[in-house]
Amino acid sequence: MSALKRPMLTLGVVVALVVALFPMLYMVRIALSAPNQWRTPTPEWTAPIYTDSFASVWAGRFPSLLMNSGILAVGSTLFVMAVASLAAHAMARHPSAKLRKNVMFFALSTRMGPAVVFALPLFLMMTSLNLIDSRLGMLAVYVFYNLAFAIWLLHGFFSEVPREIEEAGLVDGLSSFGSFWRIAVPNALPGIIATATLVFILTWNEFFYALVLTRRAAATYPTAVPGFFGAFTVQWGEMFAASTLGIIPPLVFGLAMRRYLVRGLSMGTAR
Amino acid sequence: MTLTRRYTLAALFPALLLMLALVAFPTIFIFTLSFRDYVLTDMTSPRGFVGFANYARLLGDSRFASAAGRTGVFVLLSVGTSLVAGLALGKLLTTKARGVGFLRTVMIVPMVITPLVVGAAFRFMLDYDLGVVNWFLSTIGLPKLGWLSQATLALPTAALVDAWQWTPFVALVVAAGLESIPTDPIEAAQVDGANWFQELRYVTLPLLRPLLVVVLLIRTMDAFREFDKIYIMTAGGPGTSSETLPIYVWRAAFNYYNMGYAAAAGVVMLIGITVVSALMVGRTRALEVDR
Repeated sequence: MSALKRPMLTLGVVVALVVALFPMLYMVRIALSAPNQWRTPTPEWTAPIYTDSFASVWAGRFPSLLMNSGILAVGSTLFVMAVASLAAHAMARHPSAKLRKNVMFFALSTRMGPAVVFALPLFLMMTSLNLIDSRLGMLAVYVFYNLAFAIWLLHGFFSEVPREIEEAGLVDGLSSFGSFWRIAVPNALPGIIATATLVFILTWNEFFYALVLTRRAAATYPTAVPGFFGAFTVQWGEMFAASTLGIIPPLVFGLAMRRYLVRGLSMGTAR
Repeated sequence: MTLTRRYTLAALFPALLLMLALVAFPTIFIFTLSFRDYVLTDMTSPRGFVGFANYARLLGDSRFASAAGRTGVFVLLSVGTSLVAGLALGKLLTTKARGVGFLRTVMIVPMVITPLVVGAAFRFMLDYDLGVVNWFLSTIGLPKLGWLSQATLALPTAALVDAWQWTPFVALVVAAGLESIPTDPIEAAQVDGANWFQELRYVTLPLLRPLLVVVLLIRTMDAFREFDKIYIMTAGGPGTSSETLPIYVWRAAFNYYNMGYAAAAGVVMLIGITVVSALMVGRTRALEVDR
C-alpha cells in the first residue's frame, strides 16, 4: 500500500503548490511583460521581461497611495497596540470573569460584522465632522476596525504569562505599570508581535472603508485597482504592476510571522 | 498581590472610551437610521422618523430577497468547498510527503494577499477570451465557459475564488488540530480495520470538532460579508446574478444614497448573521475566554 501511497501524496503536494501559487505568479509575470503581449491567453513564460508597467505606475499617483497605506497601517497598528495591550493585560489580571466575557461580544461584532453595515453611520458621522477623505478620519476608522479584535488576541497571550512571575515582581516593589512593562510585555512579546502583524496586514488590505470614505488625499493603495478597469479596455499590465507592489508588505510580514498567523486568524483557537 | 484598582481602571479607560465612541455609537446610530427617511441626495427630504416604513419596503423588495438567497448560496458553496478541501489538505500537511514543509509556508500566501487583488487576478484568469482557464479547457478539447460573464456561473465562480483564498486557513488549522489530538484512537481504529471514511467519520472529526466549529464560524462570517472580490470580479453582475447582500446594501447606500433604507437592510443582515453564529456557537465553548 505505502509503495502506491507515497507517489500519490507527492502528487497531492505538487497540485496544492501549483493551485496556491499559480495565480500570483501569473499576475507578476503579466506585470513584467510588454504592453499587448498578453492579448493572447497562451501563457508565455519565456517572453522577454519588460518593466514598463511598473515604471508607468510608479510615475503616477500610485506611490502616494502606497504612502497613505503605510502611514495608516503603521499608525493604527501602533495606536491599537498601545491601547489594546494595556487593556488586555489589565483584564487578564482582573479577578472578574464577567468583564472578560463581555469582550467576546465586541470582538466578534467588529471583526465579523459586515463593513457595509458599519460604513453607513461612519460615513454620516465623518461627513458631519468634515473627516471624509482625511488621514485622521481613516486612522479612527482603522482603530475601530482592529481594537476589539486586538484586545481579544492579546488577552489570550497575556493570560499565558504565569501570574506568579508578576506577583513576585509586585511583592519586590514593582509598580502596577512596572509589572506590565517589565514583566508581562517581555514575556508575551511573541504574541504581541503576532497581533501587531495581523493588525498591520488587515489594515493594509482593507478596501471597503477606503472605497467609501476616501476620495483622493487619504486614498489607500487598493482604491487604485478598480481605476485600471476602463469602460472598454482594462490596463492589465499596469493594474497587476500596482497590485504586485501592493501585496509585497503583507506577504513579507505574513511569511515572517507565519507561525503565529494562523493562531491570530483563528482568534486564538488553533495553536 | 495584584495590580492596584486605580491602575486597572486607568489601563482600561482608553480602550473603553474608544469602544464606546467607535463601536457602541455607530451601532446605535445604524438602528435609529433604519427608522428614518434619509435620502442623502434629496435636500427636500425631511429626514424624520417613519417607523417601520423602511422595513416594510424591504419585505416587499424581491431584489433584497434574491440578494439574501444568493448570499446563502455563496456562503454554503464557499464555506463547504473550503472545509472539504481544507480537511484533505490539512491531512496532507501532517504526512511526511516530500515538500510538505515548503507547502506549509506557501499556504500563507493566499491568506495574506489583499482580497481585492485576488479578485482582480482571478478576473483575468477567468476572462472568456484572454483567460488562462479557458485556454487550458480548449487545449484539452473542452468548450470555453463564461465563468464571470454568464449569469448562471458568476455566483458559484465567485464563491470558488473565495474558497481558494481561505482553504489554506482551514488546512493549517486542521493540521494544527491533527497534531494536537492523541494518535491512539486513530491507531486503534486502524488496527480494528476501519476504512478511511470510518476513521474520518467516527474518530478524527469528533476529536477535531471544537476546532472545526470555530473555523466554520469564522469562515461563515467572512463569507457572509465578502465584498471586495465580488466587487472587482462582477460588481454583482451580469445583471444582478451575483448581487449578494453586501453588494446590495452598498448599492442602496452609496449609489442611490438611500441611507435609511440601506440601514434597515443592514440591520436585517446583522440580525441574520447573529442568529446564524449563535446557532453555531450554541453547543461549543471553544470561543469562550476562560478555556
